[in-house]
Formats: sequence, structure tokens, C-alpha cells
Amino acid sequence: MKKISTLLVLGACLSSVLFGINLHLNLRAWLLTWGQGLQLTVYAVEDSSDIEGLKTKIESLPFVAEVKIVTPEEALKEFQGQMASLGPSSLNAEELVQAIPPSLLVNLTRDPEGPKDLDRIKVIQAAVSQIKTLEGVESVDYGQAWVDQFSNIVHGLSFLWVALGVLLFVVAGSLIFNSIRVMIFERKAEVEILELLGADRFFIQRPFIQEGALLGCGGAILAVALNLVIFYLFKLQMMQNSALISLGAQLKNLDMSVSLSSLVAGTLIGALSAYFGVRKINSGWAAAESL
Amino acid sequence: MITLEHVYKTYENKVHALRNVDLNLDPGEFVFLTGPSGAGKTTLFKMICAFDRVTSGLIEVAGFDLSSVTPETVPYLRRKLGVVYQDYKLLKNRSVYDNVALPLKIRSEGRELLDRRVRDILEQVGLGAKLFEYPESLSGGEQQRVSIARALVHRPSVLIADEPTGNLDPELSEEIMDLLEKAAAQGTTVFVATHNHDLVRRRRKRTLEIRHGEIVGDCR
Ligand SMILES: Nc1ncnc2c1ncn2[C@@H]1O[C@H](COP(=O)(O)OP(=O)(O)OP(=O)(O)O)[C@@H](O)[C@H]1O
Ligand SMILES: [Mg+2]
Repeated sequence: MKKISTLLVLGACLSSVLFGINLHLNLRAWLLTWGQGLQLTVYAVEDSSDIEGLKTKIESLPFVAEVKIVTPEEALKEFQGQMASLGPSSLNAEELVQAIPPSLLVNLTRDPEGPKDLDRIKVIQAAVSQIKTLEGVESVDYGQAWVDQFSNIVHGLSFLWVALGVLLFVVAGSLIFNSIRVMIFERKAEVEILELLGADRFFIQRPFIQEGALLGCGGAILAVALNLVIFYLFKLQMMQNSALISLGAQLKNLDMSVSLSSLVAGTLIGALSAYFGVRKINSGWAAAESL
Repeated sequence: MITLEHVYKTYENKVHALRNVDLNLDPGEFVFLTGPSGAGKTTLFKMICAFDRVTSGLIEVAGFDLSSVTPETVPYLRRKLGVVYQDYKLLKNRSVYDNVALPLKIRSEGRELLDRRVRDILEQVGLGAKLFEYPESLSGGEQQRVSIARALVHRPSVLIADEPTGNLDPELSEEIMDLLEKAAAQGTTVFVATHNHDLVRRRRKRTLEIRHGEIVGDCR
């Protein structure tokens, strides 16, 4: 009974770690897809005469695939198109054309050899800052500037995941440690008899370490199963929400290798914690002194 | 095989359980230890099998000087001993077979030898039919015989038996004594504490008498 409750708590603990890993991997994957389709808008200074020159300069930069000049008129049309849905425009066209600076639409390369990872975001950030230094550039904007923010958050969170994961592993370890200590206490008489029969430290420790490894492995199996259930419920929820459906479709569960490594990690944590629990066993000269 | 010199044991409650005990047992010798209840028989045995430390004096058992034995070496000493404890000290959660197999498992003996020896010794103590029962379902006398089998199964250099026939009928007691004598004949030093004076008289063996922690008699 006690073992079952230990196992349950252990499972919950380890599944939180798995959930964190899973969430993190998915956030990264989303970030990657968003990062792939990035388009920059470069606004030239208002009195810029050499917009063509700026275009060639930007085109010569690495990671730039295509540069398109957007005239104020085109920009206005686009803008009005977008605003139409929000109601009648209160501004008249001429004023707006005056207000809109000439701009360039920059597509970045989707180099299959290029950085695929989060570094992609870094490349974009580098491109932005490089373009900003060019003469005649007023500002650089990217429609999905929030991707930048989001990337920072994901990076920040990965630190948090690691910290939380370590903490949860420590909790799981101390849980196993404690249950092994209790077990030793319950089997004190047995340990003493084994010592009197000449069992060495290893012989006495082995069953406890096995027990700990088993507990850790059981907890990890439970965690993997629990994670699977949580994942499908989560995905189901997202798929039922029309706003999240495209994200939901991309949602991936942990692959086999992560699940297997978590089983190995659980078993190791179990064995190690149990070892710490039984380390001091049989360290006295006589059985009577040893516990 | 067993040597004690000026051994004293005083428990924390100031009971002087052993006083100036000197004795020497040769390899293959069979010796009885008698004395009234509370005389110090169990205490003497505890000192010999390194269950507890002496207050002062020297003990040497099977080539081990007990004053210099460490936690690392004490298991090797104990593997040379077979001990029948007054309270049996059987593992409740293991079968008769597994209990008796323990000393061999601890010495990492091969499976075949283990199986042969365990079945053989249990046959000799008359428990051949109860291999897979658990100690709880055995009578006191049967438990006692399990602990005797466990003490003999690994053919120890020294056999210490504290009241090994306390719960046995006269006939079984004789059988067990025969078994112990056989072990002595094969070279094991056998040291048996008992209250059974008839048994001691019939066997005509060296007998030590202990009273109030002192050896008061040694007749061969
Ligand atoms: N752990 C202990 N702590 C304190 N006193 C003890 C302890 N063990 C034994 N004694 C005392 O030491 C004395 C000798 O005890 P011991 O058990 O050696 O007697 P014994 O000869 O084996 O008796 P019995 O024939 O009843 O088994 C007794 O007075 C007993 O009360
Ligand atoms: Mg006694």
C-alpha cells in the first residue's frame, strides 16, 4: 500500500518533468515554423531618393532572398484593405500617402543548409541589426516582432525547465531514499541476521538497491503513461478550439528515445537514491552496532 | 581454534556477565558448556562470534584476532562460523530451503552444490519433507532444526550451538547430537551450551562449567 502511494507520487513527479520537456520541445517547434516564414519591412528615411540603391545593398546581405520595393501608394492600398474590415476610414488617402514612407519588403532565405534551430531567430535578429546600420534606413520592422519576444521567453523558460526538472528529480530521489530507509528499518532484524551469517555490505545492500531501481523504473513507466494521457487530452482540447487548431495539429508527443531515456533515468535515480539510503548499512564492527 | 585470555564482559547495566575467562578449544574438539540460567553462556558465545565486543581481554577465533577485526573483515570471520542461536534467528519471509541456503549464497557457492548440500542437511535433521514451508508454520523443535541445518550447511570451522536441543524430545536430541559429533569428527570445532545434564553425561565429552561469568569447571 505504502509502495503504491510512493509509486503514484513518483509517477506524478516524473511525469511533470516529462510534461515540461514535452512543452518545451513543442514551443521550440512552433518557434521554428514561425521563424521560417519571416518577412522584414524596411522603412527608408522620408527624403530617400536612392531607394533602388538601398535595395541592391540589402540584396547583397547574406540570408536575404528577395527584396521588393513597396511604394507609398501600394502600401496605402494594402493598409486600406486591412482597415476596410474595421469600418470606414477616417483619414483621406492623400494625407496618408504623405505620411507613409517608402519601404522595402525583405524575404529572408530559406536555406535548407542554414541554421534550423532557434539560431534561426538569431540570424533574423542579426539581419535586422545589419540592415539598420545601412544608410537611408529609418527603421526595420517585422510583422512578427513578437516572435522575438516569444523566443526570449522560450529561452528563459528552458532555464526554468532545467531548474524545475532538477528539483523534481531531487524530490523523486528523496522519495525513494525515504522509502528505502523505511524498508531498512522494517527489515532491521533480517539485516542483522544476514550480517551474523557473514554477508558483506554488497550482499545486504543489493536487494534494497534493486528495490529502489524497480521503484524508479515503475515511477517512470507510470510517468510515461500519464504523460501520454495528458498529451492526448491537451491535444484534443486544442483541436476543438478553432483558434488553436493549427497549433494543435503540429503538437507532437515525446518520441520513443525520450520515453526510453526517461525509463533509464528513473531506474538510475531509483538505484542511486537507494544506494544512498543503504550506504551506511553494515558499517559497524558488530551487527548490534550497525544500524 | 578458539582461544580466550582474561576475557571480561560488563554490560552497561553493570552486570559482570564474564569474568576473567580463559579457555582454549582445539580444531575438531567437541566441548559442552553448562551452567545455570544467567551464568553467561550466551554472552560467551556472543563474544566468540563477534556479535558484541569484550570489555577487556583477548579472543582469537579461526585465526582472527577479534580485537583487530574491522567491519570489512568481520564477514569473513563469520563465514567460518556456524551458529545456532538460542532464539534461532530465522528469516520469517523465507522458506526453510532459502533460510538454510543463505550461508552458501553469501559465500557465492554454485547452484548445484548449494542445492545438494541444502537438501542433504535438511534430510539429516529430519526436515526433508518441509523444504518449502515458512518458519511460522513450523513447531519450535522444527525451527530449531532449521537453524541447526543452517549452521552446518557450509561446513564451518567452528560450530557454536546455544541450547540446540532445548525444544527437542530426547530421541531427536540424540540424533542432533550425533550430527554435531559427526561434524566434529570431520574437523569442525563444536561448542555446545546445554542444560541437559543427562545428555552431557552420556556423551562423555569435555565439559566446561560456567557460574556467575566464571569458568568453574573443565572436565575432560
Ligand atoms: N544485552 C544485555 N544487556 C545487559 N545485561 C545482559 C545482556 N545480555 C545478558 N545480560 C545479563 O548477563 C548475564 C548473563 O546472561 P546470558 O544471556 O549470557 O546467560 P545464559 O547463561 O545464556 O542464560 P540462559 O541459560 O538463561 O540462556 C545475565 O545476568 C543477563 O541478565
Ligand atoms: Mg543463554
